[in-house]
Amino acid sequence: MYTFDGVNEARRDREREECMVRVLGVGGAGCNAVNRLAMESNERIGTVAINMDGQVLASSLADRKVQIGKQINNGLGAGGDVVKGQKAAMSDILLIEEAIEGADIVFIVVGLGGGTGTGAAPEVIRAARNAGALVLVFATLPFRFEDPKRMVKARQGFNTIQELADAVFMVPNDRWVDMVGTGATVLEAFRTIDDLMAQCVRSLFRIITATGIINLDFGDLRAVLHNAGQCAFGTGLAEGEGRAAAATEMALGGPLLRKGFPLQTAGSLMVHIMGGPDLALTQIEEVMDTIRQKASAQAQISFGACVDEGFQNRILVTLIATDTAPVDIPLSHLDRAKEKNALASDRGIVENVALTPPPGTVSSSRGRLQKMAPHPAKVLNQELLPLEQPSHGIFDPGDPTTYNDQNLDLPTYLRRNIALSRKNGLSEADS
Amino acid sequence: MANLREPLVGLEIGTNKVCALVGEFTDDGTISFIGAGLAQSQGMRKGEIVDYQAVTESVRKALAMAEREANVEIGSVFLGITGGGIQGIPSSGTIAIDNQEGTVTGQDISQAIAQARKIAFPKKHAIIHACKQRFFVDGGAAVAEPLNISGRMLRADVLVIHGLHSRIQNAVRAVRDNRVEVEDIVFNGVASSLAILDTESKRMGALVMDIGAGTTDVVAYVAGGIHYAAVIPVGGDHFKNDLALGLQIPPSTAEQLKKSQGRVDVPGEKIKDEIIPLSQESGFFPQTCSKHDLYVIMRARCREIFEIIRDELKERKLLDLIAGGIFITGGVARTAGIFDLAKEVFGKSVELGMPWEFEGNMTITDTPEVSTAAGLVRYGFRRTVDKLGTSRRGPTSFWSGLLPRRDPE
Repeated sequence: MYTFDGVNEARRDREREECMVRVLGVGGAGCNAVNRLAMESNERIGTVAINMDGQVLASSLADRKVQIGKQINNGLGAGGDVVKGQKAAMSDILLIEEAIEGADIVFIVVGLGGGTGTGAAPEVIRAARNAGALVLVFATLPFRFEDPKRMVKARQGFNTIQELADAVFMVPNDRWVDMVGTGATVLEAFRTIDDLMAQCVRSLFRIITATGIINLDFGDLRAVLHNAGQCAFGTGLAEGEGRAAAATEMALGGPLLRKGFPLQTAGSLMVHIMGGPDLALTQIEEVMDTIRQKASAQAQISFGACVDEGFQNRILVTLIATDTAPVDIPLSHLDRAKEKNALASDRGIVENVALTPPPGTVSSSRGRLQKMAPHPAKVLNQELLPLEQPSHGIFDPGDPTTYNDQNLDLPTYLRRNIALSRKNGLSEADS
Repeated sequence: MANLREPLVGLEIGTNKVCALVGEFTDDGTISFIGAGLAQSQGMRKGEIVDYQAVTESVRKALAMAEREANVEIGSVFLGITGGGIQGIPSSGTIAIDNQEGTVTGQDISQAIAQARKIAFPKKHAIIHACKQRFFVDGGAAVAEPLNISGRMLRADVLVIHGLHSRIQNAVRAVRDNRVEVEDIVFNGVASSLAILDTESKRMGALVMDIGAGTTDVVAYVAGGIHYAAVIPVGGDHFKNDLALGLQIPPSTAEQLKKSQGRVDVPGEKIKDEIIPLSQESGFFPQTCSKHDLYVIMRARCREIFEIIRDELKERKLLDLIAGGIFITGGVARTAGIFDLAKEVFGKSVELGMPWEFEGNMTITDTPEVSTAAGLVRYGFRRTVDKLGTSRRGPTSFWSGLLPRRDPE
């Protein structure tokens, strides 16, 4: 498990009783999303809005507001300039650290592609990691119809974030539009994304805090999410007859889980079931069997269940899937990858499968043994759209090569608006 | 004291590879390579050191390998220098000729060049070379070699090549930390030119573009002297990155694709619908990509590099003075279709630049990737010859005009 340094000792004691979650919205989109949560006012989920634009902050509902870069930009927004966003965060890093103080889980919400969010988020992540918190990021990407340069910035930002944070939940906005339907207005689409983010936070929070039959606590959450990379989650709520199957179906059908596709390559899963006093063992079995069928044999599955009076005749299934090290790792991060791989192979397998073949069944056991070989590190099969390359692009967005006002590190075809045919054969997941 | 019997080592710390070449001077006056060390370069990006420890280690590997193969102990190297921010500024220095005979001596030439070096260049920069371009004795027509011409005033026109002091120092330190001395530093572009250009080309005017993984090093000769030197921190890695982002594939796949199927031609009508299968293990990444897109993306990037160089030269009115040829060297020179594209952009024919007039039966020196290292060795020997010559009567005229020299400090 983890070695705690002195700073975290006190925290470890406290976290058995209480766990402080803080949600930080960075940049315009992040601040909007955070408003959603702020409206629920749960005192253990603190909300913070971080932005350069003073006006946006003024109308925020967050518990705490942090304006960054006031000195360098007079309270104006970053205007799409990632470097400005980064500098703004660095110049007010003390304020950010104050806002993070005391949190066990720091949830950072950011819409990538602009200036403040993309530029400042990595700095906020760093500060939170330094403070010893578990850092989870919920990020959205630009729509496909937006300026392609935003997408490039967003991708580069995402790669940086993925390397710094413990776990990242990413929603490419286009995916969600598919789910919401063609009739949905832009406002509705944005609102549903905000809802999704809030749901993600609430789910995690509930998993940790709900005490019940089988507990999952912060330690379990951290075990699954520490240095986890890209993650997916889904929730499903159903009632009445056949609710176990229905809720599971819903959870798997969410935009991030896409009918359970990522589960095939997920290294670890966390399942949480909340039911009423009438929660039956068969229902739990049903949920777990469905999920296990979709998951790979090597996946480590953590499970928690609790009973809540208010859930009579209802069941809520929450599912989080993560994977470990990404495929292409920049050399300077090789050590981090080694750490991740070590964690992956250290975890035992949940089912008690014997490691030595029972006598007389040599052939079948060998088959089993082979399956238990350490799962090769892979990227979670979550999305068809951009950011497939888990490695950071080769170039550092904070250190561009400019010539005649052009950033030569950005692809030439993009800067010169040269059209591509985009005939990409995508995988069988294209459903 | 250096002598021509001892082997010399040229060391290039590239973004993709570190290359150490050991050469010796043969009896018939050519350079023969007796050993080479190649190591994968770690810790470099766009021609700069981003991970010092990693670079030091890569240098160690390359030097060790070269030592083994050449069966020598490497005590010092001639080090190639690159990095964005390297530029050439024209400058001139004038001195009075005041010796008894009233003719230009070697010392006069040195002094005039030293004068020309005193130029205002950016803070935190240091001079790498002061390249002789031409001389004027008492005004009049320009001369390539003023030695022994009588007159009263000598003016030397030079190109001062300078770069960020800290970057140069870091590269030097990375070598010194391997307990090897740096004999001299040489701009990579100058080294490549020495490796691939003959005297005739330099006299007629030539352009050399060394396109490596991290940078494109450019040098232009006019009338035998260097009139343009620059580094564009764009190279093969940018092609890789463009492909990765444009085709939505991992960088490693992009690199493989670039090398095996990459071209910079205009994609013809026929290939518009052609698909290239990719081998991806997980279903996450695309299984195929469009050939059309592959060409388009690479062509755009390649074209941009050429256009930048062409515009730089045009601005300085140098493009028309290049009659001896345009050469591309470095790893990217292997890209299919690159010479045709360059011809389109420059309006003149463009060829592959390869190290020439080197001996030794090592296939490695028959590649464009080692132009810089080969040139460093040639530079080293010319400097040695120079030093031996200077002790008598002045710089050996055979070498002057071709050899960018560092003046005695």
